Amino acid sequence: MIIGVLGNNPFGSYLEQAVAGETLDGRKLVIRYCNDIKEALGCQMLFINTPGRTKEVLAALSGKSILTVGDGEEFAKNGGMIQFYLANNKTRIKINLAAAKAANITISSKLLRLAEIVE
Amino acid sequence: MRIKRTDAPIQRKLMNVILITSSAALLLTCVAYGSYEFVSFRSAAKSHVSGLGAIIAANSTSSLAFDNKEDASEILDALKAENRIVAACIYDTKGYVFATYPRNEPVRSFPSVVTDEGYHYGNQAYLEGFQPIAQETRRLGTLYLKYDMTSIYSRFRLYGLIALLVVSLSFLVSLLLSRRLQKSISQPILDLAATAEQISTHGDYSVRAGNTNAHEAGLLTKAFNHMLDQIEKQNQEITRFNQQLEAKIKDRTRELEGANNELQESNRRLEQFAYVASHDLQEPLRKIQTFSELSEKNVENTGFVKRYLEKINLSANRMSDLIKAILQYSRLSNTEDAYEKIDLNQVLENVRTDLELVIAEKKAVIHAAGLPAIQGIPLQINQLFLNLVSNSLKFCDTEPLINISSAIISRNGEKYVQLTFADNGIGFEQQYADSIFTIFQRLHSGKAYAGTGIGLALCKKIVENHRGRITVDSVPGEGTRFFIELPI
Repeated sequence: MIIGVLGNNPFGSYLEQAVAGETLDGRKLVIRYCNDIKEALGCQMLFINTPGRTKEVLAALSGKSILTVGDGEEFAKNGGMIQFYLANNKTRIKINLAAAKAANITISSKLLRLAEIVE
Repeated sequence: MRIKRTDAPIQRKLMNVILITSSAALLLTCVAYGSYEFVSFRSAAKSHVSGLGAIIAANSTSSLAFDNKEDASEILDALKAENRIVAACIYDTKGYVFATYPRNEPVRSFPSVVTDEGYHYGNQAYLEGFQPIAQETRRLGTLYLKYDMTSIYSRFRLYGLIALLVVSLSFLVSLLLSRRLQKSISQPILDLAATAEQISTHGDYSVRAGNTNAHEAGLLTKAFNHMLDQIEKQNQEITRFNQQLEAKIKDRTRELEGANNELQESNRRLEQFAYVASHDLQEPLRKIQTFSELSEKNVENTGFVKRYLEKINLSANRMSDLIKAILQYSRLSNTEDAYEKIDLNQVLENVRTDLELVIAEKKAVIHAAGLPAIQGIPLQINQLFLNLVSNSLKFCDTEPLINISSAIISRNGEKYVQLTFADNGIGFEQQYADSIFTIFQRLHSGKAYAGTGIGLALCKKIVENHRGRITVDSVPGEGTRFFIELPI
């Protein structure tokens, strides 16, 4: 299970520490830092941090079964699947259900209940 | 308990048994059912609460993961559907209260520390406890639920009330039923007891217990009646035996009286006998003394002495005759000779032969025709005939005519041979009819008619020996008739 980071890494070493020793369905979680889209294609989950190029990147990944995550404004509106944002000093999420469906990814209803759905 | 004053103890006991048994069974059933219901209700409540808790916990994982209190509160709000959940809250991993239900419930009203997982019955009729909230293996927080049991308990109180009502009602019903049904058992026993009491008070063994339909009681009644039968039979036997005994005693007493009378009579006779015998024997003895004295004085006069010695000899002979007769008489008293068949014609022939000389001398005629044969002691019957005939020959101044006849008579259902000796002798006054049979009693002086005074006494004794009787019928100067009756 590969979690990729495209663009600048905003997490420092925090992400590495968070996944250390964690598994999902028996598979080890691995962090990959990608320099281009080509490298990112092997990931199952991809954090996109490419200000200015986000639309272009998302268009390139469209249809691929990669869960796209980002925290840029309009990220979900532009076709990103999960977008983090801050509200009342708390992290909240927006989910683009159509984009996820297009990539054949199902999102847990529990998560959906907490999220704001974006068309 | 008392049902009615008139009920017998056995009826009360039977009813008590029935009522106590049925009530105990019913009560036990109610208690067992109630306890089972209570236990299963409590465990059902536990699993119900923990099921609810599992749902809440599963739903609240994302709220905890994303630190969304509003969402957690919303999830907890769903507990409104179950109004017995009176309080609930979610703790975060650090043990701080994250969300509460109801929303405005103050935090201090919840347990400040998360303790053991699982649900427990608190002492205030609440079911409360903790349940982990986890995503996969990751612990995200803890759920606390408080479940109000009071409504369930009040329902159990209602159950108890209903059970009490049912028990009381069934008690009443079984009271009514047992009043009716116990009679089939108690009635025969009561009847039996009444019969037994009647018997013991009145001593009447002829009464019997009735009502013999119930099995065991029927058997008892039958056995009781059988026993009464036996007692009655034995009673009758005892009474009969008593009566027999009394009759026997009466018989014996009568026999004894008879024997006593006989004894007295024989005693009297013996005294008389002794008196008469000594008196009669003294007469020849005095003669012997007198003539022997005279002989002594006139010893030189041989003619006198010879005459005196003749007199002495005569007196001695007379004494000898007397003693012989007495011996004969006394021998009759203890004879045990056997009975034989005796032809009376033959007996009369013997007598004719014995008295041949006297008959010829007195020119006597003896008539006898068709005398029967009888059972008797031959020597004694011979003696009887001899004495009677010689008696007739003796007391006769003319030529004796003796007529002997016989007849069969019946008296008191018994048959007798009646022999009649009739003569034409001197006869006697009828007033002496009894005394002529007494020993040594003589109507005439020894000078007029010789004799010992024993002959007729002997006759009477012989007839009595043969269980017969002898009577006499006489007219002075005309003749005498002797009647002898001997049983056949």
